[in-house]
Amino acid sequence: MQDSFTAFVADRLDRLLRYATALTCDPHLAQDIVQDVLLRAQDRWTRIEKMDAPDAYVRRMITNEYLSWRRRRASRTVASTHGVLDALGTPTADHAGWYSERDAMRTRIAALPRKQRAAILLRYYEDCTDAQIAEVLGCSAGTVRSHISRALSTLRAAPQVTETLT
Amino acid sequence: MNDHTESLIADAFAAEAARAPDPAPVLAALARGRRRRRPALVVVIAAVAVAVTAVVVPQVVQRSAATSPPADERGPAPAVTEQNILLVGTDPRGWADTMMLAHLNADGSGAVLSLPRDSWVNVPGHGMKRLSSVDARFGTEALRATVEELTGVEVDHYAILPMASVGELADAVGGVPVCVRVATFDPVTRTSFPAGPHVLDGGNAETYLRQRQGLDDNELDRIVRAQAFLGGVARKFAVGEADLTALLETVATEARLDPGWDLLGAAAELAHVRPTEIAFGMIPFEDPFEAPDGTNSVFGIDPARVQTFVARAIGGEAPADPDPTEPDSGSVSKVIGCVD
Repeated sequence: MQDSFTAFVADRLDRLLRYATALTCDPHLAQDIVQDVLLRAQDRWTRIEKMDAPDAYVRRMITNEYLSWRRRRASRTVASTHGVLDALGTPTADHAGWYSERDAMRTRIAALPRKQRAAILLRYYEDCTDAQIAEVLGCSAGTVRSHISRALSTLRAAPQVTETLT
Repeated sequence: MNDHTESLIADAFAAEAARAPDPAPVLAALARGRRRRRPALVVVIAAVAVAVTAVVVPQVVQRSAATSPPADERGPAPAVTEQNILLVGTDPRGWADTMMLAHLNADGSGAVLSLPRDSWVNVPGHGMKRLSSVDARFGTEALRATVEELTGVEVDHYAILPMASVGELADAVGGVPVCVRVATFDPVTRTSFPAGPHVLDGGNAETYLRQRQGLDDNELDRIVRAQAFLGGVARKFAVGEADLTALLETVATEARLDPGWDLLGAAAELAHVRPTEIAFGMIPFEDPFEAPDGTNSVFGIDPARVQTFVARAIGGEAPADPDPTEPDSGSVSKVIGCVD
């Protein structure tokens, strides 16, 4: 049993960390969430490994962990400063000095309400169907479409910002 | 649909994902198999959030570090494994008459939250259904998934007991003390309970718990009675008048348990549960409405409200006093006095 958990982690950990980072916009928070979730998954691995899609279940655990109320203040704080860090050209920005169209989109995504961000992440990064997204978020497919359409309105409406920062 | 926006979104996510952290610390923690208590994790995240946002200093309010020592400074192993147990009492056709989610903390305290059986909830993969019907119609794994999605927490174990066996439970602990506030007479079962204290036993426990079935507006009364019953069981243990092994043996015999649970083997651990530190409550629910399946009305459920309430109740944070204009806002209390 533990061998199959070890194999699962070896196979999936990088992908789960990338998913969590894209979801939270915070690598440290992503690491804590993935670690805590995998520790819990390890405890009940016998049950999880029998499911049709254990990796989807673990991804759901990660998503719900992030969306649960305790995280609200930490995540809102991080999202609101995301744009500031990028604009200052931190070492993690790909093109120091350029505030590219893609980075502008990253900032706007980071400022979305968490559930909207989760919905568009699952659609555009994980290529999930509305029904799959509904299962992860615990809502109806109609609500999923509503989350996505509101997110897209916000992301389309903001002016494209490209400026040089010296 | 704006293709440019969509591809920009996909690029943006890819760029964000590329900032993923080093997997090595996670692998190391898994190899150690160390399981941190939830409150400690909350504190760690608060500290990290402050460090990441050094440019703008946030006001992050979290539980004080003094109450949650970091994992490597913890003392001896906790007495009780922190866990969530789903308790279900079923009627003869297998539909739930009573449902509660019990949370146990490592220090032996806990909370028991009632889930109204006529809640209208999402069953993953099957759509919106009446909570009482889920186990019978879709199986216990579906019920587990339903409750996990509804409450936002994981169900570690479950015990599904026919209500007909509740008298055995009452006898196993030597009688369950409850208090009836007002004399009642049930025209359906033609039974009555005078006002005042009672000790429930094999003869009347089921009647007490199932009284007023089939009548409208009785769900909340029965929930309170179920809580009073469990509160009475807890009180027997608190005063040292009940035998835990006898109770667990009866449950193991009469109830259907999840395959992963060695209930009798857990006796030593469950002996550390502190009955005076168990709080009882009910999740918040919305207005009732006519059910598509045409029988009793169902309660609407707002999952976000329920998840918030459950997280707070489990975290030991006492919710603000319920707004008297909103009686269904969910509440938790350790005192069950004389109830209807």
